[in-house]
Amino acid sequence: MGRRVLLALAGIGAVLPLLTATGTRAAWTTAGVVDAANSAATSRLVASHSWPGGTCSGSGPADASCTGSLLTTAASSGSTQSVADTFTNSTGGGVGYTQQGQVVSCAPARFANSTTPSDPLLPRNRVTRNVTGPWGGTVAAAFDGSTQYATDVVPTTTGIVAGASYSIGLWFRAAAGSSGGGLLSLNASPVDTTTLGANPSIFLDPNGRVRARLDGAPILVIPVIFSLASPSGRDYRDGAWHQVTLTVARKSLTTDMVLYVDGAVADVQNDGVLLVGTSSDSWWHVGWTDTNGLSGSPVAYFTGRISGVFRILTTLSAASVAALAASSSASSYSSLLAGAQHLWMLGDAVTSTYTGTLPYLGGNGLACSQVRLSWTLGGTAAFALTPLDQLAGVGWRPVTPAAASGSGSSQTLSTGYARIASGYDTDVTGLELVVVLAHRLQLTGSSWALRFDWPAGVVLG
Amino acid sequence: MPRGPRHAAERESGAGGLLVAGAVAAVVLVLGVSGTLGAWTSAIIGNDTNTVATAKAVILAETDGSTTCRSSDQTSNTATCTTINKYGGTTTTLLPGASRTVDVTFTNIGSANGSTFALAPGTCTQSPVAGSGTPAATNLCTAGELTVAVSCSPGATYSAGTAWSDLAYAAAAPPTATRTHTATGSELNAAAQWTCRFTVALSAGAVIASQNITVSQPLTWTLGV
Repeated sequence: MGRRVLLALAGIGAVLPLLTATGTRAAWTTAGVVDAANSAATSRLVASHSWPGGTCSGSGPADASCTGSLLTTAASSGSTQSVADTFTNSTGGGVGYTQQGQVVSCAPARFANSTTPSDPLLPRNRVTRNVTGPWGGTVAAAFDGSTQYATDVVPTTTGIVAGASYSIGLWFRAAAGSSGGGLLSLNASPVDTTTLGANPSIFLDPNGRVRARLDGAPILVIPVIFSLASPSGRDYRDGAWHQVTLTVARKSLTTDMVLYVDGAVADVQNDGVLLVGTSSDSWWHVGWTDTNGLSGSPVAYFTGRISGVFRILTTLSAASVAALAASSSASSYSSLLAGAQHLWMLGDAVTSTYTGTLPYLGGNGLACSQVRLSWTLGGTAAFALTPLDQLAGVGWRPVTPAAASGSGSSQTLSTGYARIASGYDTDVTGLELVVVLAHRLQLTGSSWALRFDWPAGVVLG
Repeated sequence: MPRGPRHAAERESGAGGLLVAGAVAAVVLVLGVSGTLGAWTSAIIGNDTNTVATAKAVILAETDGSTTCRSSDQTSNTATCTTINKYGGTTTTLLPGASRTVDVTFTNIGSANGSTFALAPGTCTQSPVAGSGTPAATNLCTAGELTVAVSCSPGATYSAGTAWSDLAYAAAAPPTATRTHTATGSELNAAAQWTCRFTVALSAGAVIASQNITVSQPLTWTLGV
């Protein structure tokens, strides 16, 4: 038995050398090299802008979205103001670069009206947006108590407003010791010009009392001023959010008025004479009121935050007002006001703009027609001082691209802006004109371009 | 017929011879295996079998002038080379209209003559992946904006005038098909050299979305007897 095993092993040993030799020969008859590391990479355009208000870097193929604005101050006069911008081309290699600029769009910033979209509020003088609101989130705007306010676009009259029952209201937050100011008012001016007094007006007086003022008239023509106020001793300048609603119930011969704060009745004026108004165009103002005739010695401009401004053409019940004050979210608050005439939540980003015309402006009614812009790219003008409404949407300028700095070098670009030389309408003053600028670097002889956008650039009218 | 002691002695004698033969074979087996491995690492051949094999070997060496890869670096006689980048690499990138050329020279450093030489392109890949990002990245492996041309000629330097027609790729998207050159005369003989030129280019018409893309592709060369 042991011998047979030995024989078998011997036989295998005799065969294996042959197999091994055969395998070796096969390897030697072909020789291979696998090149595993062959690679090539395409280049990209790389460049940056640097101006007094910020910097913006871009790398192709994506466009660069820049924060801030190349237009950093107000167009406060007919004289040209300018901003210098250092543009650096950091692309590796390449021979020959060109550049162009364009005004993509120009329109006033807005706070959208969710129930009457054609009538947004237009903020002025850089109202601070997207601050924390009553429910958290960023559904509120902050007003500085100095120059900032917002007005709506479509005029009404105090007479029309007084001719029906309605309710108006909003949320506000004022810091302790702040000066209060106008919250919501109807005024016979599209801007902050004092006229004959607001009617109606809701405001916070310097002692932190919430007040409302309306014009009334008995059968005789002697006007009656209704003034409602939250109780003295309660200071709402406490850093907390408060909801205020004024309900106006017009009856056949009299008017009932109720002022609510945080869902509770703060003051009542029942059976007052009928409210009256004029036929003059008037505009809703948020953050400002004409202080003529107001009791409590208020200031015009409000200091603090405002959100959820509404007007609804019904007299809200106490329960409805309480529900508004108890709303747990912006959406639930909006839902309660679904049938409102106006609802301005004040949560819009600066890129939200109003592209319609302004009834109170002359000419073509476009606010951007009142401000001019120029842009010089190195030694070449993309365009000379031209009204913004004429520049918006016309495409890249100059039509024949200007030379751009080569790889690794810089040049100065300059934007200039000014009010129109003559015929400037002061109703545009302070409007936040969102001027979307774009600049692009192009590699000569190719379609490669690196685009920079400033989607939130603002210049004041 | 009954078997006597003589037959038993013959059986034992025959079995003993077989055992000796098996033992010798086993030794040859051990020597053969050891000798093969020794040959790949030190080129010392220790037995007749391997001596015969070495005499018929083709071994392929590839160089770009600074780095050399040899098929014999692996026991399979097929080596992976990661030091010669025939597409030029990514340190210097391509702008539209730009191109680069890389020459690699092959030598049959074995002692057998070769008769065929083949190039088999592997799968082309890219980063970022085609269609990803904004704008969606171009598929440079297929779009034809990035082109690869390959041409080979006899000798230690490339000569377009004597380029082979059967192993050539005109400028186009990175190749996919295997091309084989059949030797004429002594082109692939032992000690022969030949040179292949790679030209990688980015079209002047490359679109914006073709920026900042890295393309990679393995290539396999095979020299056969």
